[in-house]
Amino acid sequence: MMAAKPTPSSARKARLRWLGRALETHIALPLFALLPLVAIWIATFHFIAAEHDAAVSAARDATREQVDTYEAQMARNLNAIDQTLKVLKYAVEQHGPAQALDTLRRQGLLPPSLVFVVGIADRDGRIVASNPALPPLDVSRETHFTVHRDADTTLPFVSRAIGDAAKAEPHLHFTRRINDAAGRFAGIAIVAVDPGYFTSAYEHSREGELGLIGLIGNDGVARALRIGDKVSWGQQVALEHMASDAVDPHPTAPDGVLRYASVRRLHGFPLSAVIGLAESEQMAQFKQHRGNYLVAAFAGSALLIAVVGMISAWSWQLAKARRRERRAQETYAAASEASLDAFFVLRSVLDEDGRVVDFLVEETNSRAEQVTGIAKHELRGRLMGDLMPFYRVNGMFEELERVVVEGKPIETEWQAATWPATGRWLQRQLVPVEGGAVATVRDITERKEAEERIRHLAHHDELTGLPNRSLIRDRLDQAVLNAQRNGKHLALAFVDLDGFKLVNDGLGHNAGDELLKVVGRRMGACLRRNDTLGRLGGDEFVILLPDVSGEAVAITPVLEKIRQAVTEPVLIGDQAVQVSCSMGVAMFPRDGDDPKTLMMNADAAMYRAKDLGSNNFQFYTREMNASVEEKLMLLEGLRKAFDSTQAGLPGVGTAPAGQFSLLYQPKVDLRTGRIFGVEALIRWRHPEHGMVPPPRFIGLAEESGLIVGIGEWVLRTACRQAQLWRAAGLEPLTVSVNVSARQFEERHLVDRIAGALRDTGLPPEALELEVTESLLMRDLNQAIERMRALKDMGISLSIDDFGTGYSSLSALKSFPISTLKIDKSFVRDLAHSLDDQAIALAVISLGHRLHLRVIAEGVETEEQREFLVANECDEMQGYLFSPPVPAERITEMLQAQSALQPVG
Amino acid sequence: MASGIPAGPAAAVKNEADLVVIVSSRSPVSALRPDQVAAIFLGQTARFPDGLEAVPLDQPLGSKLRDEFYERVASKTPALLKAHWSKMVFTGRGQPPVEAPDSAAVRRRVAENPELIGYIERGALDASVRPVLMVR
Repeated sequence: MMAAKPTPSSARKARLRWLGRALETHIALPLFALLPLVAIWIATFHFIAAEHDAAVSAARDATREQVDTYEAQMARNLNAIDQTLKVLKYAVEQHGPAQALDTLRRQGLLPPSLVFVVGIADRDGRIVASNPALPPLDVSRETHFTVHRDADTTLPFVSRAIGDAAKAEPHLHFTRRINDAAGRFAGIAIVAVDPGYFTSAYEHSREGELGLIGLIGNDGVARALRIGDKVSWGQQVALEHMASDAVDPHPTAPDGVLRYASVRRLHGFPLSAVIGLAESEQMAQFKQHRGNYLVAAFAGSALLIAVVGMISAWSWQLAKARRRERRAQETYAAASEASLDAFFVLRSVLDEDGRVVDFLVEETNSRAEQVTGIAKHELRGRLMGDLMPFYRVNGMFEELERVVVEGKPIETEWQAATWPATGRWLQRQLVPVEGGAVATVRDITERKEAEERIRHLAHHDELTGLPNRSLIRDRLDQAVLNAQRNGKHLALAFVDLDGFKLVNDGLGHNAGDELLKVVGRRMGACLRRNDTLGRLGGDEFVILLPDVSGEAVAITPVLEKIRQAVTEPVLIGDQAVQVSCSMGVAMFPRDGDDPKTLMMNADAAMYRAKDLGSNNFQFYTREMNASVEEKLMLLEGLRKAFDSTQAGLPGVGTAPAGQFSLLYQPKVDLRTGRIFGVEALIRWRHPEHGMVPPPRFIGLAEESGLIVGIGEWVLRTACRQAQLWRAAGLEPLTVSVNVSARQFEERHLVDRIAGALRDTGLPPEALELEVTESLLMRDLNQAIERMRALKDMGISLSIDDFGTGYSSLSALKSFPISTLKIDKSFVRDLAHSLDDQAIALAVISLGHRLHLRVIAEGVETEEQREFLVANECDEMQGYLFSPPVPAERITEMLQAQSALQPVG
Repeated sequence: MASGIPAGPAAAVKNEADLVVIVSSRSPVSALRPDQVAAIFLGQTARFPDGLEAVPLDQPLGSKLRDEFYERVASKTPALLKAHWSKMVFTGRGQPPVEAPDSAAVRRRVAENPELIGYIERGALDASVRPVLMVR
């Protein structure tokens, strides 16, 4: 229901925050300014009210004063008129009407004829005398006559304003009764006055334009009424709500204007004097003053509001700017604290001439502590010259000065020499700002080290740490230039390790790597400081010996030393391994004057060394090029032969020169003496060099990769031939095809073989593949897998040259082979070598126990055959029976065989 | 236009009917301006400029001479004159001048009394009175 009450402290904090906001000028000032504002208006209204009251009071006073005056005047005038009437009456009673006026005139007792008309009427209402003189009139019907005739009045009568035949304009007639000596009605005395006479005292300065002076009869009818300059009479004027002293303005007749009005009853006459002062006029000045006050108050308020408003706005802007600045500061502080760089905000310190002499640290971040070793609060406000005096000598001061003067940033890398960052690589960035500069310092040691590493890697072999090909090339170029310039000699040696592959394949790549490292170290130990030992890749090394004498004999010792060092046994794990090296040496300038030639010739010399049986070094001679050239030519010929063989028909009879041909060597069952199979062997006749020994061109083929294509051709040709023999109805044979290491490693081997069988139509059982022992030891698992695949197809496998390579007997167990071929080297001395006999016997026994067939290769003598037969060898192959012959010859043999011993 | 200087070449149309303001020849007053004369006849002052008492004498009410005099000297029509004297009488500030029947009577009375001042037509002048203002 109710929201959870905020905790007291948070509530207080909120209040304080509000208080703080409120105290800010732009909020406090307007609130504060309300006071004078209110004061202004209170005062204004107060003054206005006071003046209003004063004005009202003045109006009342004026009315009263004026009515007093008017009353007095009226009283006097009425009195005088009455006096005149009495005098007239007396004169008439004394002298008779006709003479009365003259007598009075002579005495000067008549009122001014300009203003008053005096007259006497007899008892019949005829005017008998008048001043000024009037024609005879009859007033007998007038009220002011009849009222006296009809009653014995003792009081004067005042008529309304009426005109008569004498004067057209209305006059007021004052009349008194005249009695004769007997007291009977004898007539009346008349004093006639212009109504305007009674309001002639009207002064615009006193009464204004709307002021009212009036003489009102008791019957409520105005005898004379003047408003402004307009005189009127005869209106009904209500006197009820007019007091003797005016209090409040009321609308007054005849125009209903609001007036302060006072009434005074006039003694002795049925008349009242009225003074009315128009409220609008009486209050006019007040209203003007009021207007002025209001205008002043508005102006004052507006001014106050404007000033306060401006100040508030300005203050608010200030506060906003302050807040913005504070936020910027906080953002900056957060950013600089989080930064990985050390930050220094520096202010320039100038001397009298305006030149920069030092820098003051204004601000730093926490990271700066680590770089300088000085606490942040101690850094602030200090001069750089005090904190780090050495900055004047290490170039930093000059840079800062330049940055400030030129206004362009500078970036520098340097290695710190002082604690706490001794030895580390730092990068400083100096950026000019107003009044100084900002210095950013970053630790780039790791980057530098990484760069160094990459640079090293670019030029050095990763495994051995020796210079790589590109660095060697660079050094060679440089050394050649130097030698050219200084007329010195240099030697370049290519070193190839012999038997490395065996170690790599036999003991694994890790062992091979270790061997390379050890051998590399040993070779390096034999060299001088200026010599370079590099690794080109694989098991190839190169040695550069700059600055040697021109004689080969001079460097022979060091070459021998290297050769010996390499042949020293190496302990890999707990296995002792031994390799040797073949070295080829070319010398500058004897064997070439540019790096490329030197390298080529050294390479050629190395191949020669290899050809000569390895573990030696050869100096380049011109003939060596020949062997390389020869090799290249042979390779070219091989390609040509392959292409033309592919294009042409399979070899029939002796192949034309330049093509491959396939010969077949019969395999004979030792017990039956019958041919049961053939081994397909490839031959090549080079157009110029004649028959090329298979070991030679097979090796080339393997090197160049042509072996795959050649091997496939051999396979297909042999299958086709075997199928031809079958189709011819001859005794079915198995045809054996040699498969090289290279072929076996090829991924699609199984597919190729399957394809060949499919295309030729030869049943798989008729095909046998011969693989050498050492081949199998290479990638054991893959080999087994492929062999199984082939076995599953129905193809049989045999191990060629058994006993000559490295293999383990347990591996033998896992190979899906069917035949072991005893290598010819054991058969050759079978007749007289007991060892060979023992081996042969062992192989036969082993093979049989493993349920394998055993065939002996290279059987050439009867003794050999006898021995083999005696010891239950299953089959033989060799010159004794037949050398490799063309397919037709095999056909003939098969025909002869079946003719002699038909299979029953 | 009235002037205090004897008329020059630009004379009024009616020579004989010209008004002239007179005092007794025995009065020390020699010349008066029109405004001074008006002040005396309107009751605004009761003394001559030199301090002597001044008592105005009017021609009869409604006479042409009277109307002309007030028209020219005081710029007042008869109505205005009446309104003026109404106020004066009502407020008790003064009485209108005494009237004399005609110019001869005015002359006679003015001649007898140096305090009196009146106006007559030019033709009625004689040695017993002195003109102080020619009214044009």
